[in-house]
Amino acid sequence: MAEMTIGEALRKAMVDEMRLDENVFCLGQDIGIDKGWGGAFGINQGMVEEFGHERIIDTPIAEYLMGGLCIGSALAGMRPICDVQYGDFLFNMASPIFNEAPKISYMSGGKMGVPMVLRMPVGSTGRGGQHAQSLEGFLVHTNGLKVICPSDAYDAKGLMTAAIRDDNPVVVLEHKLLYGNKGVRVEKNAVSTVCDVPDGDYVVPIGKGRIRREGTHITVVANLLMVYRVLEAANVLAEEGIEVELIDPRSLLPFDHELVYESVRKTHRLVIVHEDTLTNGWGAEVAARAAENCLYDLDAPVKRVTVPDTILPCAKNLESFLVPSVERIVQEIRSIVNL
Amino acid sequence: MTLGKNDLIRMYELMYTTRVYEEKLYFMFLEGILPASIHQSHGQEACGVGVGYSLRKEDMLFTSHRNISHLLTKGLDLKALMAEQFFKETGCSKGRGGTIHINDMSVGIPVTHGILGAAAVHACGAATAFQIKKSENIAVAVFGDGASNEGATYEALNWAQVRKLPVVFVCENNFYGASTHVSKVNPVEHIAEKAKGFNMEYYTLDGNDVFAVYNATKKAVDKARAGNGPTFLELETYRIAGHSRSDSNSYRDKEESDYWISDERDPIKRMERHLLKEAILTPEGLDKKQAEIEEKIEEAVRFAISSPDPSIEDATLYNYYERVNK
Ligand SMILES: Cc1ncc(C[n+]2csc(CCOP(=O)(O)OP(=O)(O)O)c2C)c(N)n1
Ligand SMILES: [Mg+2]
Repeated sequence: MAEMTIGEALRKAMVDEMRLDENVFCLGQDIGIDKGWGGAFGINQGMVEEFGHERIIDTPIAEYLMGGLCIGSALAGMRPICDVQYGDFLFNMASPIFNEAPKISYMSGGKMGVPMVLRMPVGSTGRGGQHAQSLEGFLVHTNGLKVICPSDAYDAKGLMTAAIRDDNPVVVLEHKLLYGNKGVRVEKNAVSTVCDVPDGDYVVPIGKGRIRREGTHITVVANLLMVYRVLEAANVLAEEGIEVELIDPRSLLPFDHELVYESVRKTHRLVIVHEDTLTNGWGAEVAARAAENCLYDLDAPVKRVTVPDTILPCAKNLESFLVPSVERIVQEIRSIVNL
Repeated sequence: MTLGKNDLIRMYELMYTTRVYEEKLYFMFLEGILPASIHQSHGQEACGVGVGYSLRKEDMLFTSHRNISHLLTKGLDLKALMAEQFFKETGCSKGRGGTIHINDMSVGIPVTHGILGAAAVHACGAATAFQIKKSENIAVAVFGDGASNEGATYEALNWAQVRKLPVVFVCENNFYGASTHVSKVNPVEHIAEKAKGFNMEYYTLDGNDVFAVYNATKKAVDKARAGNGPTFLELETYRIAGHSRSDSNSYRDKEESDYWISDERDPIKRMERHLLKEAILTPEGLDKKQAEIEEKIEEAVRFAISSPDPSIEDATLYNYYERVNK
């Protein structure tokens, strides 16, 4: 058992799997440069020293190529882990991610799979429209893909291990403010995600949510950074006698809808909080499913608390205004509970 | 390997099989029996056969939509291919892939994509894997003159040369990307010259000469296998049929097509003349061979037509790969 940040846990998962399975390797921009960064957010730090340039491969700045390398090497028996420097660059690898990798199993009549992991930093951090998106809505609409979003170090290690062992393409959404609040590449306003991570082998199954806080008055579903904002909001509300049940889905595709239904049947209220924009964000699907499956258990309308439909700004005051804050979450939850 | 008599006969069989296969598809398409359009490689058969013949079974061939000669030469089962053209459960992709998404990993054909540019980057991925594993296998990407202009193709060329990957790039230049003439969208006379910018060895050759294609590819394959990096081959050939079935080639220059569409340049006729001249086959032997091949195609059609459709209950199966699917 050791205390770790998400950044450290992701690295440990990769290192452990690379020691275990010689087919696992990493590729990406600036991940293995000698005396370099170990990736833009330092997650691959120290790995080239252990595994060498043959298994920690620095690619050119060529995202379609990176996606294609994952697919081709996976077809040839490898398990690539690709560092997509910023998740936003997924649009530069849109064809491999949306139109090639996830379709290989289906189009081959189930004869072929492409085990590949794409690590994508997301989340607004004052970087504006092209380096701060949450991207979730684009990804969860893609059949054949899996999408995970760990919010603490335990889940990060377990989910990352599951992703590397999965025989399908898996996108890991890594929030820039959750990598950790210590070290050289630490972000301003980073949140501590430190928790105990077992030394030994374990996986967190993809597609299983987790109840982060038990409560009786309202179910809140939130992921990544919003998990921490909701936890803070829940503490405020607890003082008013409102007990929030917080579900972290951990995987967005597949999604643990059952866990949400079970909770709603108990609390009769549902709020979804995410940093992706409102329209067709993953919360829309959660709301629709709840309506289909437990409408008569609900005592109030389902509420989504998200970034509104907009491009993200750089200006700090605008960003803070747009991204759900603890105060806004408290208000929204309170208004639903008091209905 | 120098080609023996049997190799020449086999290469002829593969070219002729491709021609008859596609003609059969064409007629069935006109009769309304075939459920989809096709991209014929009529006139280009020497390319796929010459390239495919220089590969081992374990080598991986990444191709795209004009693919029949590549697939058959690499060893794909004729019946499984025909059944896939009919979208049947017995097809090599169980009817889910169709004419463009063909696969059989047991003969080194990962699923083909209808996305131009994908072949080159996927081949680089496989070649990267072979390099990491210190495997003897190599990867080949086959793409058209049109696909050669995809950014992905350039990204692939750059990476392959940087890493000296065991990969061969084969550009089948049939002078048209859909209806666009190659000269309208390329600033160089020969597409292969672009490889010069990547410091990659490159050749332009007669893609209708199966021996030239085989010899050049074999050299490039041996070089890649020995760890000496990639080669770019441009095979000049001509798409005699339209881009797909509804295309009447209205945009084609008559002088150009007259030059290319002749017994003189036809890759299959050329091979026939060679086989007869060298007395590898007698005229009767050739007739017999052709009849055998035609019957094999008929047999494959019967198999495909009598095969079951995929079952409705399985419509969403295979979205995710599970090892048991195999
Ligand atoms: C990315 C992409 N863009 C466009 C198309 C549509 N398309 C299919 S085949 C084709 C022409 C391709 O020309 P070329 O690469 O020369 O191959 P050829 O058809 O001549 O064999 C086009 C434009 C596609 N399938 N994929
Ligand atoms: Mg062409």
